[in-house]
Amino acid sequence: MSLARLAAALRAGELSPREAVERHLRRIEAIDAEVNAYIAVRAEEALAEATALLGSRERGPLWGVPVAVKDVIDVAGTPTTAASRVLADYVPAEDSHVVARLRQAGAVVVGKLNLHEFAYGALTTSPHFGPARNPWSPDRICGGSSGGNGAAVAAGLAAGTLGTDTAGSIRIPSCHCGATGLRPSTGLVSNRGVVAVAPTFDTVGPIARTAEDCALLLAVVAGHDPRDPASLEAPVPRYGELLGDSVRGLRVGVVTSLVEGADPRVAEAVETALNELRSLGAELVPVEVPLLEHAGTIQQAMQFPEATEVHMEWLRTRLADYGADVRARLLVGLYVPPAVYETGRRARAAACDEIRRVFEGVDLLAAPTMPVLPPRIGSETVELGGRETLYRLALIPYNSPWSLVGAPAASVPCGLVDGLPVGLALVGRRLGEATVLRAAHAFQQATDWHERRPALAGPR
Amino acid sequence: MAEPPSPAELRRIAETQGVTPTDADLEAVRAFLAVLLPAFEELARLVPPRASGG
Repeated sequence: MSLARLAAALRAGELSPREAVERHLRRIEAIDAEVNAYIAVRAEEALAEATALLGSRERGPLWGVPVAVKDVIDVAGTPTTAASRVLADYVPAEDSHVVARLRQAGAVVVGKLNLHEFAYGALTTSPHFGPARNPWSPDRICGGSSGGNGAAVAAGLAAGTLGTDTAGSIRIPSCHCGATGLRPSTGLVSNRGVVAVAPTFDTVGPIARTAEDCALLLAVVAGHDPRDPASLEAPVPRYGELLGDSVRGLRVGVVTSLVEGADPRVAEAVETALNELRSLGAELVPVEVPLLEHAGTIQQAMQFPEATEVHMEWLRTRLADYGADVRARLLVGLYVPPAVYETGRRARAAACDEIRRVFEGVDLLAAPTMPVLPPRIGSETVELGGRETLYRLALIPYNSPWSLVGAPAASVPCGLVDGLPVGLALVGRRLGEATVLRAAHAFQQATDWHERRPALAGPR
Repeated sequence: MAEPPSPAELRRIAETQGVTPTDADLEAVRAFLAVLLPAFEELARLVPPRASGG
């Protein structure tokens, strides 16, 4: 059941918040050992919180809905590990801004989700907490860094989730797990109480089953937070109410080079999805995005030093407690000269200008979310264009450009190849979340890819 | 094309910042830098610093 349908059923009294939480806890108990989506389950707390909701006078839009958050997002009284030994003893005293918003809306946080250590990688194979396993094929990765979110949504272990995205960490696992995810515009959602990766690019966002679910979650967590200096004072549209608008006449720029660069089976699924959008009235326009091939380098010029700065004290005192891959990435930032960071800032400004120009001619951009299917756990390479390529390098051109310019970007399930999900990326103008969600919702009204479930999830 | 610094140089730079990586760490770092440094050089050519105004 989607989050939206569950929320409606709860409001209608078809089940109680406690029953909704109990159902999810039973599923977690039965299935999570196979996918390792959760780092911590707040069973007792969630049941108590759900029971207390019955006495609440105000019933928010997520009243009684069981949700889960990536384990970089603080929940008061529950450890935030970031899937790392470095934070093993950290128990926040205060909710993050987004968890406070979820609670105000009536949601019940059932647990904290697995991730790539410190959200700094795309595999979700933490040496400390074990890999998140893809519910569609448990010997494969979920992607990352919000891999536990993807697994939890695909396996029905939470009605909705919040992840974080710096360079693809919401979109990649959404794609590989057949979930719907939205990286919002940077600054639209507060990062207060969330472990940082690289503050210029970090954002919290929803991963759930449908675009409608994402709209509901985003409407709850978006908005200005005076305690986060990077938080925008932008109006928050009623995303859910805008979903029903037609996509007729919407100009969708198809990023040709990204479609052509993908595994041909992935490209075919994406092209079929684009034709579906055309049949709904959207106009497809081939586009090229200037600086696209450099977007990853530009982001890395800023991301490496920023991430290292965040971790500097722990690098001095806890270096051995990091997993080897994250340790190496964090050490790299020590060797990026300040001049490179400044070059990155200039190039980022130029890329933002270029993207604004591209959006003068289109309303959305579309591309594959990922060019490849998820690799097997333990493999760090994929075959692309007839060559073995590092997975982490293959994903960069598909994800960094939109992070770089702070644009909203969704991944929408659009096919299965060899029984593994494929995702369509829809990218909007800055603060154009409503248009992205509208197109994603229209696509999901016409297709059923978002309703496909892995066998492991069983009947719902 | 920019070459990554030697392991000894990488260690020296890290230690000046109070960080003591292992030999394996430095090898992994060199592998990253071998890709990154040329890309950063190309980027600097693509978006050169603006000449400061008089």
